[in-house]
Amino acid sequence: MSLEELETIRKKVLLHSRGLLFLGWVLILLGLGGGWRSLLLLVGLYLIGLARLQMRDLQAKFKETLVTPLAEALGFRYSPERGFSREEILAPGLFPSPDDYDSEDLVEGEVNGIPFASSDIVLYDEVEVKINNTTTYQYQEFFRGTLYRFHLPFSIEGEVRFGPGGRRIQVVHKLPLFVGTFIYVVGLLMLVVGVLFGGASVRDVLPFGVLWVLSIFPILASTIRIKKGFEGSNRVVLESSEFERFYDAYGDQVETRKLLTPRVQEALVRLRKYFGKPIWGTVRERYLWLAVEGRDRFFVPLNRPVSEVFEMEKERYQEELSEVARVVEVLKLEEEAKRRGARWENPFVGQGESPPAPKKENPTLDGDEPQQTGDTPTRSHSALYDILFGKRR
Amino acid sequence: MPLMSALILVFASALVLLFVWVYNTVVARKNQVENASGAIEAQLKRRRDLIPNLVAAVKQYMTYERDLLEKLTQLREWAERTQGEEHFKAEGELSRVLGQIWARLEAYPDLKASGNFLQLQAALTEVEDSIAAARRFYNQAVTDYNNVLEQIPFTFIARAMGLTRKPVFTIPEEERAVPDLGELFRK
Repeated sequence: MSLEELETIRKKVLLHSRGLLFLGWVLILLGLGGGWRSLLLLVGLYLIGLARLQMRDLQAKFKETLVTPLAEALGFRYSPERGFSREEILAPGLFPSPDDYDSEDLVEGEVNGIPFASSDIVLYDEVEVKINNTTTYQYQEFFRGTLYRFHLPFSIEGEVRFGPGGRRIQVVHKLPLFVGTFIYVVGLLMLVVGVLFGGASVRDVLPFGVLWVLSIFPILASTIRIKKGFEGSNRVVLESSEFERFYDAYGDQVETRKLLTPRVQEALVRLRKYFGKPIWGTVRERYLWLAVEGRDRFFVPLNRPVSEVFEMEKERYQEELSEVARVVEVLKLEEEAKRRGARWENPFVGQGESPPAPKKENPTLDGDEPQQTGDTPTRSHSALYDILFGKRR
Repeated sequence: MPLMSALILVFASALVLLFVWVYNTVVARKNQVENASGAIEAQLKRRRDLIPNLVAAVKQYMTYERDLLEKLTQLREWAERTQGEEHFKAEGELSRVLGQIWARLEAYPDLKASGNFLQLQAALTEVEDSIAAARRFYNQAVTDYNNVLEQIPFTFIARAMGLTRKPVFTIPEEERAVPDLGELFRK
């Protein structure tokens, strides 16, 4: 699809979906009157849903057109609408089972002989909300970010996990914590005001004081839930103070140290600083999973013209795609494989799927500009490739 | 005087709790060192078990290193039957001789082609990694233990229990100079 065609579609879909949104909201407002007009409310909700679906499709088209050639230039496969399955998300044991989830932007490929897959995921927990004796259920987001999966050419015994500040990713109901803290602070203020300005004696307020002190426990309980570490494994204190600042490691004392050598600890610290976001990780058998919180790698601002989006976002998209190479590079996974004398068996071979083209040059983590790769993109995207990277020689 | 009695009771309870906590902390640190020491010994045993296979795999190629291989076998037996300081000395010597053998492998290109030997080499590399990790575990445990021994209030209980400082593992100068085995085989 050419840029002009995409721009035409963008304008058309935006006009259409905005019209639907406007109409939907008007019908909802009219439907609030009750009676037969409730039907209008339902139609309004349907139209809003339809508009959102159209926008979503447009996002996918944009991603397909903008990101795919970049991914192919790096030797990766990109599928905007595909993502990890529930089983794949739960496999690293980093997340509690979500009530609902979104998964998109699947990127697959191979970097320095290490096959990988990554996907943006959003996990939701269903929470009960009671307002005026009416109970409703809402989906509360408890993780949004990118999950990377690397197929290692060596295997490890047992399981090693690491995460920030000794906590695993879990559902935290912020409302009770917030309400509890609010009541606690207000309670203290009332006691102080009562004694200082209300003429109450300390003896008068003593029972309330005791209640106030005891009310700290539910709040503490919420906090402890947040701080809960990985179950069923030992905390391993490692040498690097910086690593300890960003991560707590869990696993067998010897196996964890064997994997998290001082060099790997340093690499994980660099990775954490590079992403600037919390990172969780699991290594088990031949897999390494990394979950980086708070990212939506290929967000497309639909309200801007296609050419403008191209100019503004292409570097960011390329950066996002290159990050996986940085992970492999920083962790020196291929060197680790050679050091361990591992003989690599490509998991793509024998599954009716051809391995992706190897990436020839990777950007470094030292702040160098991403390097253009020598791989040739597919014909369907060659025009786009020329626009993004300039004419090929 | 009920208030005074209550205060004394609270103070005494606090003291008992403090004693229990301090005692448990010291015991936990001591046990952690023993646990780490056991982990090292388990890995050293794995290495000793691999040595006969190594000798069998290389002796037909390394005909000029018979003395070295014999010494390796003797050191293995010495390490098997000794304990304590002498045992660690034997293990240290074993590491040094193994390092010498790896260094001389370059002169025997036929060995590089041997599948059995490559498997053995991977296994020994893995064991050496485990030994290094176990040593780091031991050093961490000993550091925590030594810290507790010198910190107030733990030092009082530790002295009463007759506990003394333990040394941490340091890498001998000759071991630091051991060449990268993987690099040798990549050449």
